[in-house]
Amino acid sequence: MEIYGSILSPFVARLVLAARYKGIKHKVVMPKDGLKTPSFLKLNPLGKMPTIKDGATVLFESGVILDYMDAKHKKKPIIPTSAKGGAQARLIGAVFAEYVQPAMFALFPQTDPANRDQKVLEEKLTALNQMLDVAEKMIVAKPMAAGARFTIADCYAAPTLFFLHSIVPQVSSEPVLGKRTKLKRYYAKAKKDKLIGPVFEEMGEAMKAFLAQRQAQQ
Amino acid sequence: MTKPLTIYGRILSPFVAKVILAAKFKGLPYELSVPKKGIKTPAYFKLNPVAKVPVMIDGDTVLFESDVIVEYLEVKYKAKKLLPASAKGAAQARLIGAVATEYAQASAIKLVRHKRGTATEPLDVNATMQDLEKGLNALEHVLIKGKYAAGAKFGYADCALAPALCFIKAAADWYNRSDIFDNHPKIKKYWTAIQKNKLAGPVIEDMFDMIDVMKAGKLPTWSQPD
Repeated sequence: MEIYGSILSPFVARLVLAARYKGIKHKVVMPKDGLKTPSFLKLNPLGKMPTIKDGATVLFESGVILDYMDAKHKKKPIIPTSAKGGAQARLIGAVFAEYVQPAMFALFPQTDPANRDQKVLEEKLTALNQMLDVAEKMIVAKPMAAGARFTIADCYAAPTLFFLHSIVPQVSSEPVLGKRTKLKRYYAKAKKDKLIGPVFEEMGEAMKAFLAQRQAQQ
Repeated sequence: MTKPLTIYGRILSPFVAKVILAAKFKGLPYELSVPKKGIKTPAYFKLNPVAKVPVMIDGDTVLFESDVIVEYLEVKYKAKKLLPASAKGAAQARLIGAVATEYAQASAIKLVRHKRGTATEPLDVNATMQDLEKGLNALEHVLIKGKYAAGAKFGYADCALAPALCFIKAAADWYNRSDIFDNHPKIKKYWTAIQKNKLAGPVIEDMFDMIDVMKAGKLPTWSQPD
């Protein structure tokens, strides 16, 4: 399976976590000329990452690809097979994907001190904190996001939390997760996890490289 | 006799309509209602801490997020399957649903909130119209030739696509863009056919009826954009 994109993207990191967990052979490749060339747009008209090629099958949208991985490779499912268990794992994942992560991305423009608007920043931080409260309510953290085992919920939660710890300190001196015991416990375990830990390190390296390159261009 | 599903929400929401279509297709009895005191109460917060619709209650299982609900129904009620058995077929169906919902429908929702006055941010209408167009292009790219969205049978993709196109059409009409599907032959063909479908047709009609009430300013807000 070829995964087009960079592990720097939390959307790509979701797929890397799932592929490594399930033992799916894969390569992460950033197309040399980017994602908006005519040939890439033939694969994904939205010109986004991740996009995958698995034999003759081309797919995009990380959630669709995660489900595809489980349907194609039956061993080590990331979606629990019971209706209720599957729903709980999906729901925790959805809270990170649909609420926490967008609220976090809304902070991006404020990380540039030249463009910072303190009033807007405070609104965005309040909104992010509300979503983190929801995540705290929903996450199980025993020790994985949806229970004892790695699931699709971790594919969403872990990269989002990693990014959170990169972005929030740039705009706030408050501890990122505050007093949210389950999220803190989960993140501490995730950093040491055999699967998730290395992905965090690779994301960090990719981020350093990206920032260094941006610095060099300024 | 199975207890009917409880679904909280209003049919004009494409997220609610998606769940309704899935339940109807699977022959599951359900009750669609709006909590009497609305969705910003502590009681509703216990069901859905992001205070949105739909919420589904099935016995002691409470869920929110329309895609999570549909996937749950697919696993729990196996008699009539929404998804094909093959990994590729299921992925294609899910992709159509995702593209319809995340891009074109999302732009349409922003446009409707702007007209209705329930938007939380200012809107660049032209830019959002362009995004809507991009979303329709992507949808045209992923649609499969055949009677339904993903082939010959009604399924998962239709549950997402029919409400999405209904909402997009209603939004476009409100902005005097009733030609919105004209440059997209697969979408246009599907839209013509699905309105006549036994299952989806009545849901689409109900959606349009309620959207008309909303456009006339007669739909109560629950201090949450739809």
